[in-house]
Amino acid sequence: MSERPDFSEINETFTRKVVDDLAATGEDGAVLVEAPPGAGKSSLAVSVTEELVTADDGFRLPIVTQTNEQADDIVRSLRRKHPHVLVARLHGSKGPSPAMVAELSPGLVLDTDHESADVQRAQVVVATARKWEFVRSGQQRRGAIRRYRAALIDEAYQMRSDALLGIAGLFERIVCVGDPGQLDPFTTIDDAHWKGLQHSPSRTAMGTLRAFHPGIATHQLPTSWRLPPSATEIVAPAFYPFASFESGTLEEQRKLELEPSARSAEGAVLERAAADGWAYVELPERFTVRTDNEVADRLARLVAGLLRRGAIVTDELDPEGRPLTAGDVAVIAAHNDQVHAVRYALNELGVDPDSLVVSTANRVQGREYDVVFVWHPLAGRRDATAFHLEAGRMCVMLSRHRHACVVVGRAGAHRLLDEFPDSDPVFLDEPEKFPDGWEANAKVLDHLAGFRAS
Amino acid sequence: MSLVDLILTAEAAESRSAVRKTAFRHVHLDERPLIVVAFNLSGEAAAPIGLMWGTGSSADDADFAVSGEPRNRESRFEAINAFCDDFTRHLSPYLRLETVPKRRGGGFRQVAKAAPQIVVPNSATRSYLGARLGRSLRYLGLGETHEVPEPTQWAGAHLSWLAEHSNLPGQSVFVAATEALADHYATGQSALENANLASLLAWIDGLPDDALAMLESVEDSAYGPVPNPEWEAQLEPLVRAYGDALRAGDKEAEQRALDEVEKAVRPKLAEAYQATHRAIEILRKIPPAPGVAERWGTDERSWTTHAIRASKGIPRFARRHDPLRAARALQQWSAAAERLETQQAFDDPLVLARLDAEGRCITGVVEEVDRQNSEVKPGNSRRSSVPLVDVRLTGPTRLLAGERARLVTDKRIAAVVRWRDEETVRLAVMDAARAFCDAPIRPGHEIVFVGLDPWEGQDPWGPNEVPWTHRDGEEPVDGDAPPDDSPDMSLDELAAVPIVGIVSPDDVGGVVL
Repeated sequence: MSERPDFSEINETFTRKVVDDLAATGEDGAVLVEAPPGAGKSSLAVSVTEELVTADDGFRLPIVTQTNEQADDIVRSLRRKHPHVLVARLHGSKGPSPAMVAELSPGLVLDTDHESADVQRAQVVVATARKWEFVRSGQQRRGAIRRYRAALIDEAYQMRSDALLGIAGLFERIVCVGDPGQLDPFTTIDDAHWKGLQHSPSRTAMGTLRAFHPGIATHQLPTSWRLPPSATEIVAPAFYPFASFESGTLEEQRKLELEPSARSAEGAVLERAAADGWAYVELPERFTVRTDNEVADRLARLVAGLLRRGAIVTDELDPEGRPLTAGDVAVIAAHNDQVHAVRYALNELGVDPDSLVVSTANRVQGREYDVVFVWHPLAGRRDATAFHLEAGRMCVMLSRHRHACVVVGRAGAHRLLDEFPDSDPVFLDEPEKFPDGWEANAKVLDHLAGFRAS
Repeated sequence: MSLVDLILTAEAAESRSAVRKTAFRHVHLDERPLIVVAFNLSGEAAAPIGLMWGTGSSADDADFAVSGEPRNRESRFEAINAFCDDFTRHLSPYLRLETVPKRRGGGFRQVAKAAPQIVVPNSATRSYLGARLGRSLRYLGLGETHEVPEPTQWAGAHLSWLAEHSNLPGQSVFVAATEALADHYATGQSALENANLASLLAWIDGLPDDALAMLESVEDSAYGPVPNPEWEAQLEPLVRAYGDALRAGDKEAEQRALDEVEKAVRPKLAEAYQATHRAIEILRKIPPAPGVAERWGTDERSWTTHAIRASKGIPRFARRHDPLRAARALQQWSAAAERLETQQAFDDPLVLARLDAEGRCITGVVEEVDRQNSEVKPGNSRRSSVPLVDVRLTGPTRLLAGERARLVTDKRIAAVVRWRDEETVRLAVMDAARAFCDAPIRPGHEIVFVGLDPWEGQDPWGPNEVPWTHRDGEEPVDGDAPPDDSPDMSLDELAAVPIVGIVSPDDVGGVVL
C-alpha cells in the first residue's frame, strides 16, 4: 500500500497555516482557503475557530454563513468537537430552527440581538450574512461600528459580492473558506449594467475580493475525503483543472456490495455502478418537456431497486460494513419540477420520497451521500442554455457521492453540445468564467460514455 | 416556460389568435400617455432620421421631426431639438413640486404632483431613446462640445433618468408596448418574435389561414428604431439628394429634397405611432389589477427624486454605479421583482393558476381545522395560537415540509407545511392566526395556499462607506484619479448623491446612471 494521506495531519497543517497567515495579515486583509468537494472544509473551519479563540482569551470570532442550515451545521459541529467553546447563534425574527432548540445547552446562546449581554460574552458568534448585515446596519444607525479583529466566512464562493459589501465593514480581516467549483450565486436581474466592474454586485464575493486584493494568501486543500478515486479521476480534471486534488482513500477501502438478484435492467445498472463507481443510463433520443416522465420513472426504479438489494457499504469509517439506508441516497436534478416528478414516481413505486433526499443541485451543495442518482440536465432538451451547461451545477451533481453515481440522460446530448456552442455575449473587462461549462460538460459526457449500462 | 404557458402557446398556435394570459392588467396606463416612435440611421449611435410623438389617438395630430441627412449635424439637431423642445415642455408640469406634510414625525416634504408616462413601440426603442439618445444629449454645451438649446440638454437628462428607472421591475413610467402586450397575451410564436410589435398585434387580431406569409410581411415593419434595410435603401437616394442640395447651397432644392424624405419617413412613423396607440387601447380594455396603483405610487416617488434634483438645475449623471449604489440597485431591483411576482399572484387568478400548475401552490379541500392548537413558537417562551389545517390535495404540489405558504384569500395568513404525503398536507398557521380563526374555513371548503413568502420587514441600511473588500488597498490621493474628459460625474461626485430606493414616502434620494 502506498502511503495514505492522513486526515488529522492535513487538517492540523492547514489550521496552522491559516492561523499563522491570519496573524501575519494586517488590517484590511484576507486569507483564502479553497477546497475541492469533501476536502474537510468544515472540519478546518471548526479547528481554525477553536485554535483562534483558545489561543487568545480576548479573541471573539464571528462566523458568517450563507444559509441558516449551514449556520446550524457549523454550530453543531463546534458543539460536538469543542464543547468548551461558548457559541452564540444569532437568528432572525422567525426564531431559531428546531435543530438549534434541540441543541440548546449552557454552552450555546440562541438570540436575535447581537448586542445582548449573552451574545457579547460568547467566544464565537454564528449567523448568516444577511443577519450580519442587520447587525452592521443597527450599529451604523446607532452611530458607531465596532469592528471585530477577524471573521470566518464559510462557503465564501456561494456569496454574492453585494452580500460581502454589506458586512465587510464589521471585520478587520477575514478568513474565507469555500469550494470554487460549485454553483455561483445567481441573480434574477439582468446584470449587464455592471458587467466588467470589479465591484459588480452580481459577481461572487471572492471574485470582487481577489480583483481588488490580488495578493491575498490562498491555500488549497489537497485531498477529497468524500470522493472515491473513481470520481476524482473525472471531477478533478473537468472542474478543477488548476487545483488538482486526489482522493484520500484507496480504491480497495470503498466497497458497495449488492445482494445477488434476478437479472433486470435496473440490476445491471446498479451492478455497474457498484463495481466501477459510475453508471450511465442513456435513454433513446427524444425531445421532451422538462418533467420527462421516462427519466423520472427510470430514476425512481433505480432507487427502489437499490434499496431492495440490501446493499452493504464498506469504507474507512465502517471497515466492517453497514447496510445502506434510504437516507444515504440522493437524487439530484436541475429543476424543481423535475424533483417533484421524481418524488411522484418514487411514491408510485411505494418508496417514501421523504425517506431519501430528492433535490436540486442548488440545495445539496456541501452535502454528501453514499450513492447519488443524477438527472442529466441536457436530457431531452432542444437547446443547451447557459443554465444547463453551467460547470458548477454539473460539478455539484457529480461530486456528492462517497461510493457511486448513476447518471440518467438521453442520447443526443453530444449533438446538443455541438449545435449550441457558447454564444453568451462577451463583456469588456469581465473575467472569463472558469472552468468553461461547455468544455466541462463535453469531458463529462466522454467520461460517462465509458460506463454505459442499461 | 411553465406548462400553462406551453398550453396557452399551443392553443394560440392552433386558433391562430393570441390568448389572454392574465385576468387583469398589470401595467398602469395614463389617460393620455406620451407616445414616442423613432427611426435611427443604421450604423450611427444616435442619429434619428425621424421621430414622432404625441398623446392623441391619431398620427395625423401627432408632432414629428425628420432629418434630411442625419449625418449632418445641423440637419440632425434640427430634428432632435424639435423633439427635445416638445419633450421637455411635456415633462415640465410633472417637475412641479408641492409641499405636503410628512406622514410621520411632523415636518414637510416635497413631492412631484404626478409622474409622466412614455410609451414606445418596443424595448429596442426604449433603450435607443434612453441609453443612446439620452446619453448623447445630456452634456452637450458643456466644455468644448457642440452648443445646443437648453431644452435639448434637459431632454438628455430626462431620458437618462428614464433609462435607469426602466430597470425597475413593475415600473410603468417608460413602457415598451411589446413587453406590456406579451405580459398579457400568449401567442404561438417565440419570445424573440414577440419583440416585434407588428406581429404581436397580428396575433392579437387573429391570423388568416396563410398565417406564415402574413406574419412574414408584417415582420418587415418592425416600428423602429432600426429601419428595414430595403426601406433604407429606398431612402438613400432621397437623403443623398438632400445632402447634394445642402452642399450646393440651393435652398429651393434643399426644401424639395427634405419634403421628399419627409414624404417617405412620415408614413412609417405614423404606422408605428398608430400601432403603439393600438397596443395601449388593447391594454386599456383590460381592467387594472389592484396592485397597479401601489406600484405606480413607487414610480411617482422615484420621479419625485428626479424632480427634486431637477429643481436645482439640469441633473448630472454618472457612467457607472459606484459599489454602494450598484449593490443597492441590485437588491432593490431583485426585491421589486419578487414583490411584483407576489402581487400579481394575489391579484390575478390566472397568474395564480400558472403557479399552481408549476406545483407552487397547495390546492385542495379542507379536511380538518384545529383552531385550538397552541405551541411555543421557536424563540418564544410562551405558548401562542398555531391553528392547524389539513388539506386533501386536489392537485400536485412541490412544497415540502418546512416551507412557508400564504393563504390566497388573505395574504397576511402565513403557514408552514408540517408534513405531507402525496394526498394530504398539514399546515400550521404561524402569522395572523387570529385572522385565520375568524375566517370561515370549514371542512369541505376549497382552499389555496401559495408558496410565496417575500421579505416584508425593513431592509437593513446600506453601508455608508465602501468597505476595504470593495476597493483597492491604497488610500485615494486627491487629484490622483486618471484623467477623464468625461463630463459624467466621477465616483466621488456620485458618492455625494443620496442613493435611490431608500426612497420611502418621506425620504428623498438621488438618481444616477
